[in-house]
Amino acid sequence: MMLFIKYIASILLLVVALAGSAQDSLKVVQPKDSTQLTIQDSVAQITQDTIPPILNDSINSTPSDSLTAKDSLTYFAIYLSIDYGKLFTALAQFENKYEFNIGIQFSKHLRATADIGYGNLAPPNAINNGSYNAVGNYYRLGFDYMFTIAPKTSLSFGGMYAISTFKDQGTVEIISELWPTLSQRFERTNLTANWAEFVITSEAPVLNRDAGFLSHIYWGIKFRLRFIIEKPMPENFDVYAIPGYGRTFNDMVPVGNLFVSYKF
Amino acid sequence: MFFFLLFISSFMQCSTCNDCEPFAEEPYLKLRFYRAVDSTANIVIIDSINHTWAGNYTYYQDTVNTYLLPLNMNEDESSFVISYRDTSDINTYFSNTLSVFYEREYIKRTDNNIIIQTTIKEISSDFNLKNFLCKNDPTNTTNCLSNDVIYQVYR
Repeated sequence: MMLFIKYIASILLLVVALAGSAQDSLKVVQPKDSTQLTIQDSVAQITQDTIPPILNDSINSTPSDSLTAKDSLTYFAIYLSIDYGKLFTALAQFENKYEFNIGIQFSKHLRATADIGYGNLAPPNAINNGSYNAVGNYYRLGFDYMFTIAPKTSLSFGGMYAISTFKDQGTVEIISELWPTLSQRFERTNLTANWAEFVITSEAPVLNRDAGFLSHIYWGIKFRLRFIIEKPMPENFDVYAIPGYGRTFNDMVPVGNLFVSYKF
Repeated sequence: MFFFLLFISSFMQCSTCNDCEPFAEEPYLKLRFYRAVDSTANIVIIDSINHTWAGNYTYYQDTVNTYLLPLNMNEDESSFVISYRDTSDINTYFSNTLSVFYEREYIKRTDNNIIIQTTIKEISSDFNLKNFLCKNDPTNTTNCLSNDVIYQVYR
């Protein structure tokens, strides 16, 4: 099973890498216009001859320099998001989760992201002959590489590092006909786990508006593949759930998140 | 994206257990009786274990009448006072004591039940002729899980 998972993960990463390189190879290089060349050359000649050196420097700055600075200003944005899918877990009796996200886009393709969340997990089938509950906070930091796949719609691939601090408790009962029934209670505090995530995000405006408050509201979906790096190994009973990571029955967990964000 | 979704769907199927094997809920020790003269199976009726009716603890394995003695999960030892009769003389009652010493460990099974697994440290009894097998190997007497042990009494 592990071999199969590694094989699939490798293929996925390869597909992502090829998609990125294909994007680069599709860039069309515009041929230089001969008229522009002539005018620019003439201007250069005139400025060298007649304009003072201080003014000459500003005119000599290349178009690409001013375009880069303009790019940074154009693409700089801050996203504040909430995972509204997790809000529905408040309706479930066995878990209660909240998650908030901030993203800072500082170029056309790059965005830094940070998550903070809280989880109160009580998976009903973690221990069939008992009960289990894990409560704590978690934090994630990472980067996204964004592509525009349609007007105002983007797809991004990213990686995150996450850490969770939590406590857990549980009970176990084993019935015996000959001896006293075993009833065992356990509780562990100050537990820490960390993991890495591969994240695919798709987002689009909620409404197609060019201006106004609603034009800043986006929604989307995230697919996450979490790989545990380190988890606590307490005595007697394992940790069965980690806030922010989920069930620990495997060292790799796929997850989907629904979010809505406001873009400044 | 298709591969990713395909991967997720195939992966999620692994979280359920479709072929979980049956387990005894408690750790136990198997007890069998043989005839001392020819080592053939000796059909013995155990009436009580620790003064509790023993009917729940018997089962047939390989056509031999075998008893499962459940171990105390709250302690590191269990003592059994066994009251029994020989089928060749149904009116004569015998009583012997068997003591088992072990280490306990919590194990989570694939069906998400937590059980206690016990590793045998020592077995003693006042039966005249006895030995025990671990996984049917008479030479293996260390670090043996209780559920793999057969305690054999020859009389």
